[in-house]
Amino acid sequence: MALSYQTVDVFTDTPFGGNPLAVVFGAEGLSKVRMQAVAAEFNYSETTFVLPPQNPAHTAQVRIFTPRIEVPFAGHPNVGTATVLAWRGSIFGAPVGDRVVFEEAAGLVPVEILRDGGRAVGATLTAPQPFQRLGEADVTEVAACLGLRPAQIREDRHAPVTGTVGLPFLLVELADRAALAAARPVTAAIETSPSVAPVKDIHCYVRTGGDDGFDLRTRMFAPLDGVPEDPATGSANCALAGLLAETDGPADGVLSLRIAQGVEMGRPSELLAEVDRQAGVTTAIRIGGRCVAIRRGEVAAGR
Amino acid sequence: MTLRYETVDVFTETAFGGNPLAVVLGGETLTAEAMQAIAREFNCPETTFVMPPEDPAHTARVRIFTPGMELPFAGHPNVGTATVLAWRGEIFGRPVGDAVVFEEAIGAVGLEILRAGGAAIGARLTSPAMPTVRGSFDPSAVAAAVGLSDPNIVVARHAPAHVAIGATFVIAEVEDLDVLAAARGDAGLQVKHLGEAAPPLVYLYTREDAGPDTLHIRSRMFAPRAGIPEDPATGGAAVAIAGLFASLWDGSLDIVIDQGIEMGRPSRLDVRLIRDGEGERITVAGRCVAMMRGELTAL
Repeated sequence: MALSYQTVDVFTDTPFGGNPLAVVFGAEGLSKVRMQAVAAEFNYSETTFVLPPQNPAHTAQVRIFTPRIEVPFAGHPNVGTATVLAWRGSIFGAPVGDRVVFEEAAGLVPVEILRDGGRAVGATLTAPQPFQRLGEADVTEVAACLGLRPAQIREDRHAPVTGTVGLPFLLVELADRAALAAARPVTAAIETSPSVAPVKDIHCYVRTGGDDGFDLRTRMFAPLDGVPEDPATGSANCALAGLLAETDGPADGVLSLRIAQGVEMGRPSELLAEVDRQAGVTTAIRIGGRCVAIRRGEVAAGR
Repeated sequence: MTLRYETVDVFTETAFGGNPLAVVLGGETLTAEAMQAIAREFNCPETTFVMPPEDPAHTARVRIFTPGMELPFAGHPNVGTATVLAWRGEIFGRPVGDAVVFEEAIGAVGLEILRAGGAAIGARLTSPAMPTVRGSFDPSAVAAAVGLSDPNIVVARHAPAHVAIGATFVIAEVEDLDVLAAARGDAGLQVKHLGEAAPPLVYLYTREDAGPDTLHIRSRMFAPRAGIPEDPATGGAAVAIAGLFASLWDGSLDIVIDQGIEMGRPSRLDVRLIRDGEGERITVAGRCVAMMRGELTAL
């Protein structure tokens, strides 16, 4: 059984930057075990399988796999999959317009196509669940997990805290760019830290004060999920935007954040996060960016 | 510019086992930087670029890249690239027969195509040189570097050895399969116990059974410092271990290596240490499964 695929670099307009994604078509009837094997073979942080929707009002059912597990929701796979479908022009006999809706384990995910002179250049998704703040983590343990000193972690605006819009991340503000550059995941510490182990995946950031056109610089480490560092993480930056809307967002209006991720690992990525606020309450979180096509072909999915 | 590519699982006859390899064709005009970027994008343990040979007596020039660097020589890229060319049937206007010779940074590398009923199923590589044993490591330090304890390392036949063949390896025998399963790759532990200067490639094995001139072993290879938490099948290490045994053994020896089982990518390598009238040499053979083919359109 041979399946067709397209790979894209997501959250960049430069080939070999951003976060690679494989989008696989024709996997109807393929078992979950085989989908997992195909995702491991691609060895990207995520691979998606585009399947016919259960409800014909939706565009497609999309299943998302890391090299090790299926995940209910993730950001860059939605942005990349929507852009690939827009390039194709139609899917399951229906045209792909300016808005697609994906059925996923975490719920319905609407994605807007970004166009430049009519041509699809990327996409913006709306997070499927409201931002939720979960437990806080111990600063000393977090520092050990990142190979840093406790003084390199800021606690004045918020302690290291787990936040989620469908997939939880430990959100950690670091003191400065030097701390961000020095951070590295210490697998053994993550496994044994009582307050970090349940979350596993750490998204750290610094505020850059608008230098070089960005508001935030971020890095995401998920070594226990087989991803030592991720070049661009939509869901983690959605959660971060949800948190920052609570700490410094407007009571009414839109908080826009230009975020650079993946710079230290040599895959620069650009993400635009937007948070809608009404009367001090967040009503929607969006994340978007550009995509560039890299390769296409067929993969043997096994007997 | 559009490049064609194929990916194969090497050292297996089962899809999704073995060690993945990407083989890129048509990259004659690429710079080394562009090849490196493409290898990183594929994110396979290795990616090869097949280019016209400088000497027309050879099959092709082959450059080998990991996601992080170019290598002068490696095992599974040669076995996989030779098999892909045999499936294609011709390269640079000439048929691909039962023997191919690649020009690589280490020198000329010869391979024999393995066939079943005429169809290519894999390849046998003859190592371009004999490995050199450069020294040994303290067993306690090697044990600690992979999360094990002293008595887990077997030193009856050889101490943990430093063996070079293009790349350099730390090779250690461990007590049994349970110990092998308990070992882990941890960059921090390796640096702490073996030092920054030690080879980043740590290869552990245990004996399953041995006959008069045959040996069956199970192995794992950890290289977290090189960006490879664990490698499913390491042809270079198979050559290195045969070179190590050559210093302990008088005659020829067949070694069957099963690797990658613990990480879920079972691989088999057939290694021969051959001593005959032509002297001493090492071969490594394995099968391959075609996985992906397509076009790289981003350039």
